[in-house]
Amino acid sequence: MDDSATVQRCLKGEPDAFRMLVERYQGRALGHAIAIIRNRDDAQDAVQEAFLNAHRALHTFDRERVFYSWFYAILRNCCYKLLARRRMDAVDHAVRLDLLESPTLRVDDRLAMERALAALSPTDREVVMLRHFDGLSYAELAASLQIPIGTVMSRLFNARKRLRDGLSGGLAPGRIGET
Amino acid sequence: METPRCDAIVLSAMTWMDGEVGPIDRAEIDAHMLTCRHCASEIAALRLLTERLAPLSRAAVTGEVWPAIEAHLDRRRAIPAGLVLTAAAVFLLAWRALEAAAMDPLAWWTRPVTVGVAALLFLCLRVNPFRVEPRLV
Repeated sequence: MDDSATVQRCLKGEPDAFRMLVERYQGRALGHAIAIIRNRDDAQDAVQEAFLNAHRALHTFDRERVFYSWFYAILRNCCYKLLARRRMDAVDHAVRLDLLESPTLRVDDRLAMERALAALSPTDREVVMLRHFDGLSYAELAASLQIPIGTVMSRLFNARKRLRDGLSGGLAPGRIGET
Repeated sequence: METPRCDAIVLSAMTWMDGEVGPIDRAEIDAHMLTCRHCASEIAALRLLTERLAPLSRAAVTGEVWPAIEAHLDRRRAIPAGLVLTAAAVFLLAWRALEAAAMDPLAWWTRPVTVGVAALLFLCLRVNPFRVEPRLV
């Protein structure tokens, strides 16, 4: 059953329909929340709050849109609110971004990439990860982040420059940052 | 040599690399790169970064948030009784406040109008002012 039909069932009051949506997207949402917040417990709280807000606002969902894209705007809002009221020492540096291993990239280079991504600001990390790991186009990034395409370009540009700078000391000779 | 246009050139080159349409056309970027080593080097570094990121992907994250959400939704469904009691309390308080504040006898219609306004506000806001938001569990 597609998301639009599931939302329709939710609106009709079928109790299991919302559960289906939550179970379908909770893993993805948690991954995205951890990427922004870098604290698993807080990320879990943000995801719960986002689903509850989404449940309350389901009647405003435009069924022509992709559900997760609509939900992501709510989720990131919850994440940034939580970041704003959270103490800085709540960042859990033990929480890794957990990138999947790749046969074409050495382990230490992958770990250097994880560290460099983790050192970025939440907004930089978010835009880079959405672009590279979720494969979002600029139009999709603009819709998800609720910013104009021109801002997507400059945000991605600056984030990549900072990532490159962060990597310049972390990769083996001849790697990123060396030209 | 680096010029004020260099940042715009590199940003546009990045955009084309991503398969999107950049604000500056490719012919101009190519022409600029022939004379600007700074931009050529910046663009090469961005390309390398993109190549390094390409084989990586997010690991799946597992987590179970449904039980907490379900519990919260159950509490929310149980609210109507509390909402009715709160509404009654608000109306009674409005009635009594009006009575206490009145120095002179009021026209008969002032009380129902005040209560009506309170009811309207209550319905429009749809917020229980006495509810303490519990932390999500």
